Amino acid sequence: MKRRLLLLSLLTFFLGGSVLSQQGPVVISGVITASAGTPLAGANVAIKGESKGVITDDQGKFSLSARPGAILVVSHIGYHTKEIHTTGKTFITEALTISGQEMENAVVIGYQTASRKSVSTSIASVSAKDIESYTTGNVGNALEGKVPGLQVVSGGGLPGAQPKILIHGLSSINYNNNPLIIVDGVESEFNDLNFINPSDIATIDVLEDASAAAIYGARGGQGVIVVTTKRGKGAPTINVAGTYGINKLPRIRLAGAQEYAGVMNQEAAVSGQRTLPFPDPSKLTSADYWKNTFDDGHTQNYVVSATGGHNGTSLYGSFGYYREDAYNATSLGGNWQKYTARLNADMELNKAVKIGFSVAPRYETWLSSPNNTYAAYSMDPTVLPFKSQDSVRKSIPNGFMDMTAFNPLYSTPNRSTYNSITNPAFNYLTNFGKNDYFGSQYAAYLQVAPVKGLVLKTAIEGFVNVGQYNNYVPKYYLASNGYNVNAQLSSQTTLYTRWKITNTANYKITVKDHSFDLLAGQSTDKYFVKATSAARQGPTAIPLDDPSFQYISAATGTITGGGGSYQPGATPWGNMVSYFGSLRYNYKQKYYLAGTMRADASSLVNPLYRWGYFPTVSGAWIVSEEPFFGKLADKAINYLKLRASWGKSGGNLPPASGAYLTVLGATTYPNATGGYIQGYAPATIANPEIRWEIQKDYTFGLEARALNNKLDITAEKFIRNPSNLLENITVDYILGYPQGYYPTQLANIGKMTTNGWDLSIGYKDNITRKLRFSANLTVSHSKSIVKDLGTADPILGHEANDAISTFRSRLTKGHEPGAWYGYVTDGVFQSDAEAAAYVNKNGTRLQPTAKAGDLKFRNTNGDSVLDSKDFSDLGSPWPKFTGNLTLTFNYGNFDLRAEFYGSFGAEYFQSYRLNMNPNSHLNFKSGFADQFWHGPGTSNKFPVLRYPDQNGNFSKMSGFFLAKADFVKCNLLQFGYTIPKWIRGVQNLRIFVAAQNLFAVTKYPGLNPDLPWYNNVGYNGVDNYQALPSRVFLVGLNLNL
Amino acid sequence: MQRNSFFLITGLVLLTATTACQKSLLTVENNSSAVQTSEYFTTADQCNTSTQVCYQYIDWNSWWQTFNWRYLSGEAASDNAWINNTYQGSHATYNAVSEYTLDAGNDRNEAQWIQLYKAIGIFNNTIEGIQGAPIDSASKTKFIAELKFLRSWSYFDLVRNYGGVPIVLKTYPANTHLPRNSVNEVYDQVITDLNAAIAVLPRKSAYAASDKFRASSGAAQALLAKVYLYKEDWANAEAAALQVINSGDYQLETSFGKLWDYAYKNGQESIFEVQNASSQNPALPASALYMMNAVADGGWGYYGPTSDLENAYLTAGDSIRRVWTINRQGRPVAGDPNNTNFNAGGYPANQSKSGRFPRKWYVPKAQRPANNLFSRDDIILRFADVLLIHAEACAMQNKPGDALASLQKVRSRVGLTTDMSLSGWDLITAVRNERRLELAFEGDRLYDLRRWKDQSGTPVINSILGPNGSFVRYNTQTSTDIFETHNTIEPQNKGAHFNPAIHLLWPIPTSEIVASGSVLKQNPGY
Repeated sequence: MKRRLLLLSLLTFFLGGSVLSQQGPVVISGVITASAGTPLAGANVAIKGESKGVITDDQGKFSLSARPGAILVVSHIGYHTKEIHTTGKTFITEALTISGQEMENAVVIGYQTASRKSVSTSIASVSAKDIESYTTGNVGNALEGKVPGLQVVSGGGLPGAQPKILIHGLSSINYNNNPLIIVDGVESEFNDLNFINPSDIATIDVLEDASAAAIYGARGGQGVIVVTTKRGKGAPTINVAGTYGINKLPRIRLAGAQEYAGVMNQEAAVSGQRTLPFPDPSKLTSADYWKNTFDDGHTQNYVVSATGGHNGTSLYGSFGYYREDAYNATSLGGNWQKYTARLNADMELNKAVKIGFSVAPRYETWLSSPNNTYAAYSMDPTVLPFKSQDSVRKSIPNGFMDMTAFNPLYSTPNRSTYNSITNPAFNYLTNFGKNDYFGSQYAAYLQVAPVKGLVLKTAIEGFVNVGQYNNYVPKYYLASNGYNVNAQLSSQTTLYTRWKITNTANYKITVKDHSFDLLAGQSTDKYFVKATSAARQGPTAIPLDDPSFQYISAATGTITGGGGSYQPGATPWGNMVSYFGSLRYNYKQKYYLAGTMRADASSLVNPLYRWGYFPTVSGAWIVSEEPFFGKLADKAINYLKLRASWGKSGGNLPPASGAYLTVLGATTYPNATGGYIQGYAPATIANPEIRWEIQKDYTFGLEARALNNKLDITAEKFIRNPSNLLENITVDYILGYPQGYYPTQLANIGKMTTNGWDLSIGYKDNITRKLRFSANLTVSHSKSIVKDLGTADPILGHEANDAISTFRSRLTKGHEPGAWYGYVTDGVFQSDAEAAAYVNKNGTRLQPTAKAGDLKFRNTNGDSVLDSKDFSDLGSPWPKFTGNLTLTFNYGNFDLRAEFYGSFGAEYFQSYRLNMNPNSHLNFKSGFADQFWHGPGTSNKFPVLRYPDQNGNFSKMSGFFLAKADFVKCNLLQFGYTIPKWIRGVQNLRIFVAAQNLFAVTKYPGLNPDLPWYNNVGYNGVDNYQALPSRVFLVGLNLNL
Repeated sequence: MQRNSFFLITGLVLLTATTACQKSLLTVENNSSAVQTSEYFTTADQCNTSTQVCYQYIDWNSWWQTFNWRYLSGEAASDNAWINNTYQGSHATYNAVSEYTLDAGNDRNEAQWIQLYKAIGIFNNTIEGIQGAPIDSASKTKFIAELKFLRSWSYFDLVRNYGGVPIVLKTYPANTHLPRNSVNEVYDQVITDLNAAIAVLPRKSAYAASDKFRASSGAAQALLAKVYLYKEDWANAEAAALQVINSGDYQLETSFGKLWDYAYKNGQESIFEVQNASSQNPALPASALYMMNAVADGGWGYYGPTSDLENAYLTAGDSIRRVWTINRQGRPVAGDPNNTNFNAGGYPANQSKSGRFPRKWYVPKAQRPANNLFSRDDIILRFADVLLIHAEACAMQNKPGDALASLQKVRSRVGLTTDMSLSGWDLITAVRNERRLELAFEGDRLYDLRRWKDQSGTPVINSILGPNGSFVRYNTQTSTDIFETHNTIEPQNKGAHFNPAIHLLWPIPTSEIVASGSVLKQNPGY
């Protein structure tokens, strides 16, 4: 076969030669194969410098006409692109070699980089192209679902809301579950990616297992997100990008006045009230508080950046502006503005010495956004939204308050005398909480390579962040039980400073087939927080209600509230001294073995127990390099790697500096003559032995590429065993420990296991030369089980002050953390007789106060009473699976991108049901009340609306409050067109339209299935009127100069 | 290469420098405003101020803690008060207490248990600190005696709520669990602490003006009398009460209303009271009186007098204490010329069950502080209480003369005559009725009903609450009260679920039983 091809090509060479002399277009045909000789279908054969081109057929054949001497560019996904000179040829056979590009890509593994192929731990990566199409102020939002093993919990719908990131499921019970964020080697934050402009990011590498993260020791336990920003290279280019969007809030149809009043009357009648609250509903006028409260918001994002290098010096710089206005843009609904800049400079002095600097300042300013969802939803619709300023003045009893700086405008929103909710416009009118935040990161490094293979590096980094908050609470008078007679002004400034110095030595040597990579390092870092706050208030604190007087400096009178904090070695960083090292070895780039070790000493731990040691070991086997794998490597499966790792890293450090000390706190008490006594009373009886939490895990991974590298699969299974978890062990109340309402003491006692797997499948192909397609699917699964809580078991999840005041969820040994916990309901009693017939084996009623319409609670243990022993796990607030599907299509200069995120298996608590508690008189979604029992056969799920609620339908936790929250939502739909060589000096211009959070497919009955993090690991998944995410419709352009 | 060496050396120097300073860098200890216990208690002044600030833990004066329980349990679980707030819907666990449908998970009951033991823990810990202090022994003994008085109050409140409870007298390690002691052991401990306090503490009159709030020997004797009353040790109750009466340190205020003046502080009738102030800076304890103000009057509308209580005053012809105990819809408020038409939420609005609110904890409009922090003190022990303890102890010992003398003093002050011919059960009943009229809304009613026995030895509460209780029958069958019968948001049959086999004690909180590793055993029936 090969020989025949050769003959054929020789033949065409001569024939071609004769054609060449004719100087007209020639037909060139040929066959493209993979290096082993198998035909390669779908390869792109284009003429260099022209837009013409074709795609190879199933036999790898192509044919096209070109001018003589044209250069063909042959490319195929997963293979190295080749250029072929056609001079004198009309038939071409060309074999493309497999591109190991993805395998050779640099991955940041902590203090050094390594090729993807050599990594034996769990590290997932995302590049700029997967995040840049999503317009957001926080790149965390763009990561949702895209990184296997990384879960992004939405921050909710208010401007500047920050999402929460979990890596490989839950790692702690009571403390931080959020990863360490490192930008270009600078330890920057935990969880929060807000400080970085998404468009500055080149790649994000996520160190997921302890084996990967433990090089960061006691701070690595929740995983590490390593962000690498763009650095200068190549010829200077300038990029200008701008996006503008409108944020539309979903419309919720609430009950109007007639429906509301009807239901309230019905409740009163059913409850035996002699007088109805709304004697004549037909006369009522209706106010639509949802419509009145919310309108459109806006999103804007503009970035200018430049990159380039020259003579060993390279620069990358950017400036960005991002703004989000809350979906009540026309009033004081809040907004968030962020200015970011970055300058990365690198200089190679000579082959041995390199130095670099980064400066990244950011300024944020925002007007706090009140969440008005609850008030808009619950407000009594029979009440008119506003009263006149004149009637406000008249409603204030004579001499009730000093009228200095009283502005009646703030009191014009009406308050319902029936359900005591105030028109949410009040929260906008009195929204004066302004924040300024200046953060800046600085980093410099000096790298010296004195001898071959050895690199010495010293890096100095620091950040200085300053937050400033001003608030003004005006006087107002809404009703006789809702007023403020003092103007209040407060101000708070907090300064955070941190510096760190890191010294590393890295030595690489290859002896025959053996390669060694040795790293040793040391670092020291220090963190400081200082804050001051002051407040002034009083009936005449300011002379006028005017913006210029709304600062503490303009107020008169003495400072009524003042404070501050001085925290050297503050959490979460503390002060730390660390030593670390790693050894990475491979044989023939086929067998890999690596180990790391770190020792940390933290100021947050008692000096007696200060040092912690964190070892890891991992290995990988590139199966496809084995001879026995043979031709398979070039056909079905092009690459196959297996890896396994074990590691131990530190989890959370103790949550406060000096947490190991027993202390007294300052307190005051009045004496008998109008003075007071200042003294110290017991504040904490501490456990001197508390130290960091520990994460140990095993991870097994498989990485494969198949079907001529079009298909890319990564699968991973992990078992994570967080231990030494810091638990507030309940101290027997009778011992009277002063700390906490429930007296507790911190101890490293908790244990948990988190089991999970992640799967990532990518497929990309050229369907025709112009039409390209790719699909990426990720699926993540993890499930945690509490293994030990010591005497803290069980920890009950509950609200501070609530109708269900005892609990809703539970942390307990052997169960999922925060599983819903309460009565199983067996429907609704359809008649009094049915309720009376619900008896135990002695004939005694199990629910003695139950009547028709009440919930029937299951006597789970079959004993003679219905009590706490009958509670069961009712469901999990954690999804079983989350995943993402990203589809891209390119046709010529058009591009289309669609991103879908899905979550399955979670059950969420419905506060909308709890708040139907008929004593509360809150409004509801139109038609919602009809679903509640109002006669035999009307409902077997929702109880009757009747007070007093002696059966506890609304005060006992039961399955009635829970709903499944499976959903798929479209995070992004984007359509773009690129105008190439538009005008001189413009390389290209891309314009696009996009919709973010466009729709969700779900049967979920609550307001938002993509719930923000609620409270803690033991109490999460409460759908409680969190601000809804809006749909964002965007237009944008991207200009490359 | 020279340049390389320079960098290499610089790097090494930096490495050495950072390693050298690590010790000072890592030595960062507690840095809040707290002070290490092991470094404190070095001077008499430190011991003195630490003792004084402990007084606030008698009354965790936040609206939901012991202050609240005093009215929720002491009044609303009896025939004196309704929960009364029918304006808000979110107080199911309050209702469960007053309606006797509570279980051991009830959070209000739990708060009382936790906070009493928290106070005891704080007293114990402070006693230990002072015991080790290098100060003169007279001061040391005196400070400790004050703390023992505070501790005895907390144990007394525990035993009358829960029965026998564990006695904790020092700071134990976190993994300690202690079983319940018997009721008698707890009373014995209270008596031991009180006798230690009586032996050391000065009289109230011996304290400097600014120290009048501190525990005196009279306060310890008054509490001792009350403890003996609960123990039904009539002779000792009489003796202890007599010591207070004869000390000359205390007198009844000439007018009953003076006690309920917003500015009343540590007056001649006051034996022990928790101090409050209207100060945000420094943050001083303030009273949560807004809890018991009508919603229409800027409050939260909890705890209103029943028409049954009002009837008790009407039957007794007791108009002075009636108006100083009960504010009623549409009536003028005693002692507040600016409030001639009290607004309890109107009629027939659903804001309050009974259209009545307590006058004792009402603040006249002109005196309300702008910052809403009320400086009204919480009276824990007052002289009228001691007189009635004396009257009751004597009546129970069939000493009608002594009993009537004390009873008469209390009645004369409010313009009521006393039938000096009373004796036997008539006298006992009269003294008991007087306690209700005098002390309503001061937090004792339920505990009195629980401890009082009728002639057959049955607790009096059994005939008042329960399905056939007199109070329940009055409300469900007899009452025509215009407010209560028209507002059934709070059920009219309050108390019907009272079960004498269970409800003479409150439950040990479920969470405490769990925290104790089930070392603590639950009270019967819960």
